[in-house]
Amino acid sequence: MWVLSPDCPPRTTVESATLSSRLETMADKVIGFLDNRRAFRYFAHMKERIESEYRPKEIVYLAKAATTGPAPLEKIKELADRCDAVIVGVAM
Amino acid sequence: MLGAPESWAFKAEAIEVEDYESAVELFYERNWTDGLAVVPPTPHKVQAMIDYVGRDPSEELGTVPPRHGVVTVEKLAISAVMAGCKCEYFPILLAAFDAMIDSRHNLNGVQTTTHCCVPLLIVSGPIVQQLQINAGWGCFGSGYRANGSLGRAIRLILWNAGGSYPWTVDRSTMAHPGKWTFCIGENTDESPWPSLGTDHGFPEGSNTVTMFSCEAPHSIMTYGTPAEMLLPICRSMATLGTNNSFTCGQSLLVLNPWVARQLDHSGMSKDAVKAYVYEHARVSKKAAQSMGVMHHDAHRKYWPKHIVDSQLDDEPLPIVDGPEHIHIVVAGGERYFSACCPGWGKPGGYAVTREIVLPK
Repeated sequence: MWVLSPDCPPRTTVESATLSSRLETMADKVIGFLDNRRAFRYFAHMKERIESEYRPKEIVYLAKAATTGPAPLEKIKELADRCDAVIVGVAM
Repeated sequence: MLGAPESWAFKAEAIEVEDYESAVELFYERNWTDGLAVVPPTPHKVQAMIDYVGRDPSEELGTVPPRHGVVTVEKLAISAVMAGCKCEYFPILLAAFDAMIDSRHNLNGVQTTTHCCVPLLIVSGPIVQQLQINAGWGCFGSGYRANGSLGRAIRLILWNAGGSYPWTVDRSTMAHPGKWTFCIGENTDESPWPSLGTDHGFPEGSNTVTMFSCEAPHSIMTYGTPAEMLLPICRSMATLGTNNSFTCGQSLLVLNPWVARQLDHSGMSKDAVKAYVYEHARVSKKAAQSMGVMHHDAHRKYWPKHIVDSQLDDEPLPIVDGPEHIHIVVAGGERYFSACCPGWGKPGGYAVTREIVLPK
């Protein structure tokens, strides 16, 4: 007797993704925030700490329209193009 | 597919098993079922499902978050067989899947939220009677193959393509039994009003399926005069603690045919009932602000601006974004009870309707 698998693999997997290189320092870098609307006051606090302790060149802040949907691709691309590193969301 | 007949054109992996019982156990071992035994999807059964609709089995229908597994006609047919669907149910599943992955429904959020919402299939049109989809007594319960297997097939594709398991990314705190199966028919024959499909833009008499993610049904005692019925309806729908009560969004009201006729005879159209419920199903601003969730500034994200700005403590907060966001379906037995299914609120799960396309 034969049966067929119901598994539906995704097109890409974590194993196939390439991690970006890590920053040595945030000083003089462009740092982005992608706020998933769950950060409440935490990201504001984090932004203040980074600015005062690391002196980045610029902070780019983007809040998603909704917590549970992805940010628009053009906004993700904008962050990727402008920033050296991006802090993405916060889990709750 | 080592050893499988070369004549097979299936893209899915084919596995040889000893017998029926071994097949059932295999699906548990491989985590291909969410806890209930399945009908083993043999090539013969899957082919019959695909042949019924005459679609290309390799046609991609979309992906299911959060895993973003790719779903083809073949894969959905496999889920349909596993659930025990008849071939005649497959056109409904194709429409339901397309509705469910629509961005307005926000399936990614539905699959991962801490809320208990689950996608509900609501089938409308002549197909309900033709396929014996229960829209009458016990409509949310058991006893009907169509309801049980249609809802089940949707759960299985969400499981195997979406990868949302309760021990991983499915963070539903409590969930509800709709996670096993969740499907009702709309009783358009006994309804004095247009169907849900017509509410959403389809011609009267169309076969449609609406996907709406919501809580399990809350029973409402609906007896007496229209005013005496509308009172508990509004109070039930405005229950403090539902996501509607502090984020608005959408909600579903299921009225049994007797109740619907009483309201209609009193001169209330479906739109009039929606308008009445919108105005009277309210939570006081003070009560909503007394909830701990307000520490998270929920009101700034979700409330109408005029209520955020209002200085009145008892400013009444609506439970939905507008009357059009109250979905009314006539179903159930003709007795004293109706039901409401609060939605997930502003974050999503919004109702999306598609026409069911039958094979020629």
